[in-house]
Amino acid sequence: MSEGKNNVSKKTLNTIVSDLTRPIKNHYGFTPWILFLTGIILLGLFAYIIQLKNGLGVTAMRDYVSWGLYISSFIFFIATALIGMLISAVLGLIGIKWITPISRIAEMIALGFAMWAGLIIIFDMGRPDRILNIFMHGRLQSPIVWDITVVNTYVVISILLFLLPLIPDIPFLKKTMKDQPKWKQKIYNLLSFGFAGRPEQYALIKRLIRITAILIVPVALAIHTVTSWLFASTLRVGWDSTIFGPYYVTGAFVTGGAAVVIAMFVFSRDFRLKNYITDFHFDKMGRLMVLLMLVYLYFNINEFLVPGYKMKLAEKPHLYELFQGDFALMFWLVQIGGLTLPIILLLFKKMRRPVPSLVIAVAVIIGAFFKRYIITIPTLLHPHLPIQNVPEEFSTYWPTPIEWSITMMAVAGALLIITILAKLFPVIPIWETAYEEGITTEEMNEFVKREND
Amino acid sequence: MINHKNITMKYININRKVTTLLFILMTFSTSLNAQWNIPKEAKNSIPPVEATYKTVEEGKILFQKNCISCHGIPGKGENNKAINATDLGTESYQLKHSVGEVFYQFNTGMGAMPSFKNRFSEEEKWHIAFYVKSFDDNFKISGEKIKTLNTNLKMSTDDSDKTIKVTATVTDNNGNINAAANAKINFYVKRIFGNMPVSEDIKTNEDGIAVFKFPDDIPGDKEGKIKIIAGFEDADRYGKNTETAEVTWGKALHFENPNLKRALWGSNKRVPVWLLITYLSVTLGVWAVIFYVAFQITRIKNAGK
Ligand code: HEC
Repeated sequence: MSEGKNNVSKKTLNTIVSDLTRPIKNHYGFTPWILFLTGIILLGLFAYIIQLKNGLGVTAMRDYVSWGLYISSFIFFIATALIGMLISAVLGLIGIKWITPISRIAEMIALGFAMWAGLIIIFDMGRPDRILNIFMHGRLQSPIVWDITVVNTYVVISILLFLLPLIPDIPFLKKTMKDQPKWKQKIYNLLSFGFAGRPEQYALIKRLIRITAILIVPVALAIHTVTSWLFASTLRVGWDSTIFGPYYVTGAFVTGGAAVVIAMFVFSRDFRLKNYITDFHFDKMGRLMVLLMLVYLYFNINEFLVPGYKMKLAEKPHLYELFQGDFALMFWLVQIGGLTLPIILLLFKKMRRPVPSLVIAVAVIIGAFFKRYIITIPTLLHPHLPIQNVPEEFSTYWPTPIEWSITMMAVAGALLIITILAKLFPVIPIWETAYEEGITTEEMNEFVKREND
Repeated sequence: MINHKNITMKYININRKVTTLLFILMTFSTSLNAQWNIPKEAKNSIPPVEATYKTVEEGKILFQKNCISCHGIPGKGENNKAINATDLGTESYQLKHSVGEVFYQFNTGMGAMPSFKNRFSEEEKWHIAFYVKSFDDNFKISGEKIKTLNTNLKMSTDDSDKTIKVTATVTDNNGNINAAANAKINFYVKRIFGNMPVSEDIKTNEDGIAVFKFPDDIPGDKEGKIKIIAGFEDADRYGKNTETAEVTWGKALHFENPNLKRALWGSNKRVPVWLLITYLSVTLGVWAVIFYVAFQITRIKNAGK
């Protein structure tokens, strides 16, 4: 990690362990934050009970717009979850060192959002019990079945990829968390899997991490490609596109990248980890974001310029609606404010410092959320056969408070998972950080034992 | 029994679907606000032929062939509303239009209403106009009203050469049965959405017999079964009675149900083999690795001991 050390002098194992485990023990502002999230979740649960009782009629979804805020949030969640694969797997496998302090953060984000993505699908169902029909009568020909398969697979692999690098940290936790509640210590005991720092154990874990990291790459690509096929395998205007797979995957990296930058900022300030997540890391993430966003911009240009040049009869009203109609404001805000402008800004070194990075990342992630909205809803408002002889409300869509509440519950739920993980485990891997500081595994074992006596 | 009225009605319906499509396009291409602009002379023009029950009858036959697909039988509200074709039997239409104006209108045409200028002879056109005006009680028709005869139809089929023989008889007031000579007979094949006419210009001879050679290229059901219907073309004069027979002269229909083979649109049981193999191998492959890793985690404890 020598390249990453600009202003920080060598740390001793002692400081590393105490710095990284301190936030787990006590941390100012934790209770109000948890209360805030719980409040939003309770509100969402209340809204969901109303929806369960009265059916999907309480949403703004009708015969034409049958995929609304829920499904667009679902894509957003899956997109955010994909970052775990990019950072810990792809960058890790090609040997990029600066990701060490942020790889676990990326994995936590992946877990939180992937788990709630599955739940959002359930929220979108008026009769959630019918999810069983997918397993009883699902057709293998249907992308929905592939989607259910791949989402669950991704969650399981993400859990593995979160757990495996955690195991060598557990001895440190067992040692420093003696004063913590019993249940916490039970969790640590359970997750240590008998790890005692032996070289063979390190070798085995490293091998398993490697296998899992390789495995998650195709599965992550599959999860978002399949999500895009839910749309692209129809003939509908705006979805009937051959580049939807890569368009979604690259868009996902942008979304997840922004989420990681925000999380980096919050953890480095709130957990006082500025010595570990440094300006250097923000600079690196900024550069990575520029690359990801340029690729995504390239796909965006393809996705709109080519159909816009041809203006096929059926696509014309849809494209006009986006470019200069009802959705124009949202469309251009997303494309310029959420993508083009951030690229330009992040080209400047000053803009890649923590605070400007945070502001840009927030803009990108809001843009990313509404980008999914723009992919989902306008198309449904432009069916191939004209909308006629239906109530006025069928030809418009704006989510109801119920839908917003339930969606916000999902966001709060994902943040809650991340918070809980961050309160149980160090957000930065102890053993990898120590290793990069030049501390050997023997020294680590000794440290654990010495303090144990 | 299917009466003649129903046959024509169903025939109207089939035709109507096609003409609606065609003429919706035409109406769009012409100005929707066009107005009939009928010259004064047309209003007062005197027909060169006399309106009798016979000429009205001639007009009716032409009208049924050429006009009902859009206008329907006048006064029945069967007109095609989608293209705004007028019901020509309504009082409001009849009061405002003289026989000369009717003649002018369909002779000239306007918008979706085609011009029939070169379709009929002058005489035939007047016959049509007479028929249209016959729905106006004040329109004078001379001659004797046509009485519907008491007729009987008998039908027999001959499988060897696929011919149908129809024998038509008339019973007069005294109960004598005579051959109905020179009466036009129409043959139809029953279809799901109506009756399809298959004959043209077939008349009974002096003995009241009409023979029709059934065409070879009419599709039937799976076994080639077909229902043939015969009836008088001039139902007002000869009555609406029809005769029906079932024969196996049609081409047997071979219909392969696309839902019965393995395909992307099939049920789960009929998933294409390549898809099944791909799905299973990918899913099982990935989960095998997952289980392998999970199993190896349990072995961390003993590693290196
Ligand atoms: C393709 C459909 C079609 C066919 C076939 C057709 N018409 Fe018409 N006809 C129309 C339409 C449509 C109008 C109304 C035109 C308008 O007023 O814009 C019309 C109008 C008329 C009018 C004037 C009605 C009025 O409101 O002033 C007359 C008379 C008429 N048709 C007679 C005939 C006769 C007789 C025939 C057969 C020889 C015939 N039409 C065949 C479509 C058709």
